[in-house]
Amino acid sequence: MKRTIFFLCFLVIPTVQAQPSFTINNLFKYAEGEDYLHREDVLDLNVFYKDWSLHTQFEAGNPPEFGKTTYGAHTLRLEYMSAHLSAEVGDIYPLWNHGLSLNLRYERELGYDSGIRGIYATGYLPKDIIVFGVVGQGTFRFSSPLNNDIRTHDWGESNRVAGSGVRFQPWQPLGEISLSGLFIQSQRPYFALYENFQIATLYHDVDFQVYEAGWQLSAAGWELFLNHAYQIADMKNPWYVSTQYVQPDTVDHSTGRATYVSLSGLVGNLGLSMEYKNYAYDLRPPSVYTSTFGEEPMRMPDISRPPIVYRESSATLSSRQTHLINYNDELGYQIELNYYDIFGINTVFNYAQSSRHRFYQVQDGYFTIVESRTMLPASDDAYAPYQQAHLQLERYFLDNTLYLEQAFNKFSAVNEYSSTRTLTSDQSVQQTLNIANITRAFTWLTKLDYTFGNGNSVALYHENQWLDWINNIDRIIDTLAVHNPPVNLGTKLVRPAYNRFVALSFRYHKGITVSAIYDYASRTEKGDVFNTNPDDDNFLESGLRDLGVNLRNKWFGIEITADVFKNNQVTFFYGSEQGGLRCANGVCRQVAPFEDGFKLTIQSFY
Amino acid sequence: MHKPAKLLLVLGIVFLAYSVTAQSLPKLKLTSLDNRQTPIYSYLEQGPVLINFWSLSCAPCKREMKYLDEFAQTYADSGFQVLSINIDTPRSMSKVRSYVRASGYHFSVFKDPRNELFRKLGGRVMPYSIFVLPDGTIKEKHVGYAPGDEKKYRTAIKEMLGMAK
Repeated sequence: MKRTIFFLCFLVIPTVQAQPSFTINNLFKYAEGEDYLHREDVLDLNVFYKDWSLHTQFEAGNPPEFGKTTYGAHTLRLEYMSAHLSAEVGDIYPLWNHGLSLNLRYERELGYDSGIRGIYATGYLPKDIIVFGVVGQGTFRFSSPLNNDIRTHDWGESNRVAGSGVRFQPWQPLGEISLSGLFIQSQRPYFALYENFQIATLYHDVDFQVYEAGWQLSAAGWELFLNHAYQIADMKNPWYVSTQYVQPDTVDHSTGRATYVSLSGLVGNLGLSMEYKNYAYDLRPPSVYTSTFGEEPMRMPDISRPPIVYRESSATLSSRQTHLINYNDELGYQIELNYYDIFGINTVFNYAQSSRHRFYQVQDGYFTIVESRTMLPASDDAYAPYQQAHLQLERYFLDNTLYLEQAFNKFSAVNEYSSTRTLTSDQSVQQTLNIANITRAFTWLTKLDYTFGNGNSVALYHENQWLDWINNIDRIIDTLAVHNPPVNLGTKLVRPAYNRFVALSFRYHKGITVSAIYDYASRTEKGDVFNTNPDDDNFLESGLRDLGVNLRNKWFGIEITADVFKNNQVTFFYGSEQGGLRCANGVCRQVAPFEDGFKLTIQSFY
Repeated sequence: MHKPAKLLLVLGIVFLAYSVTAQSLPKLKLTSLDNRQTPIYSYLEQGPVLINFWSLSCAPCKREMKYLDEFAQTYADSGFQVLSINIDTPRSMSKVRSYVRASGYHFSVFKDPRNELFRKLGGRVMPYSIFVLPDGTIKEKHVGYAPGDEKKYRTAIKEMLGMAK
């Protein structure tokens, strides 16, 4: 109630005074499908009065798209901004440098919120010196490995945060330097098996210190950024969980580091951007932890989030096959080239590569660390390498009324790797078993649209994807004799698949768009089969099946979007959606499939 | 009072307050790609502006920018300006610079890596455009881009320039 009174006071005072400003955005969502329901309303209200502003987000969800039933304020933040001071009190999302130590994000569409409640202040001192500080606490909620419903968050990690920093220019031609220190008290959940395979949920209290230095230099049209962070982690209540009992763990202290460098500029008409990452927040082998689900209690805190340094695709099929970054152990680089207007064609080329720093081999029951000592990513499967190349070409024709885009994406990633080495008791034969799960994909995208003289337009979106899921097993027998070379008795299993996504849209110039959507997968990774039972057909599928269309592993949808009274946009979807991986700004989550239903979204902005 | 009722009460008061006030642009600051801050109102001294929010991963945004650049050049003599605000996180900022420079756009590009301005100005979906008159009054807002929308934009800009005279 106190928060409501506070909110109303702030609202009423500027209303009766002169020149307040408001911005309002309301989002209403309703979806009902087979075993699926969400209904939620999210209202963003911002009030501005002189140097002060209030930012709020109210939520009513029963159940919401992500999380649990909720009514009330999600965000409440008061801000003050003048020439010498800016301060925020309430639900805050600070970001320092490139996020190596502090980067709090709110990605509502993915149910991701790492924000904290506290105070964040920045002071602007003479001689371009900027000081900043933060204090607060929050709970980062997520879906645990024990949760069967991927839409809800059943667990949370709480963080108490305090830190400060400074930015200054000792001599202008040398650019800007920033220094900061951050202290985090983190309570992290930990899942393990004990007592006849019962799952135990424990908490680890871990204190972090993260020190960060940054350097930014702009010269001759080029920009250079260099960030380095050093992390010290101390576990206050270490636990060791065996299959029978719980006892203190053996690890209570670790250090980690992270480096990020970027360089961008122009060479003639060619835009060039290069990035390098070397993240090693927690490189210790899994044997030092006893968690059943692979949690690493001294991993990078969830309030940190450095750059991913690879291209995050916005295309439907490409984005389903993406690299999942491991901030605790990742080494890589990215190059992007932009070339505009060569024979009227705009070209974008991107190449990214990364790998782990080291891998772990189980040798006669013990973990052995095998380290790659280079500064560049390794290509051996053992280091979980990832590579992606993307080429995009676009051009306008017929006096800018016809647009054509062609994009090609090649992706390869080792998702899992294990290596076991055993020696016979007489030490005459050594067997090495290496198992790698690899995904390779090639995606071809075509976008084509034509705008008529009256403003109406038609658009085609067509994506093809050829996929290989590869299970590479090396079984190397070495008789340890000089004249007998090792023999590989391994196998390679390849499961090819083909995906297609098509959307055809017509846009009426008064603000109405009608789209037909088609999604097809020749096989899914888990081998599931969809849409084979006619009894489960929706209205759309039933009609298509009557026309003789084979609906196996096909998803159909119709979407209508209309602009209503300028300030409202209404979207109605009917049909089914495949679901799968969805990513934004380096945050990824599995989105549940949606079958045989409708979704209504009304967005209003004032 | 039950939570839903309390929420409704708050919303009712909000809309009541909103209905008696003019819709004007808040006094905010823009941050350029090289970290210089400028009050948003200083751009309105020359004429009407179109504020456009975009990101690299938003394909319709990049389609729309071609036309925004065309408008920025065509109506520059009338004092019209496009203020393009990128909302990519720092993880993409070096690519933003490269993209903007290679594209050779004629409008000013700013950054909003924490999405503060975007949210403060009521944004949720991209591209998001706000048409503002020289006195700070928000004429209209537009969400999304589909081929053909540029014709609506041109009409809105012409109307603003007519109003501004």
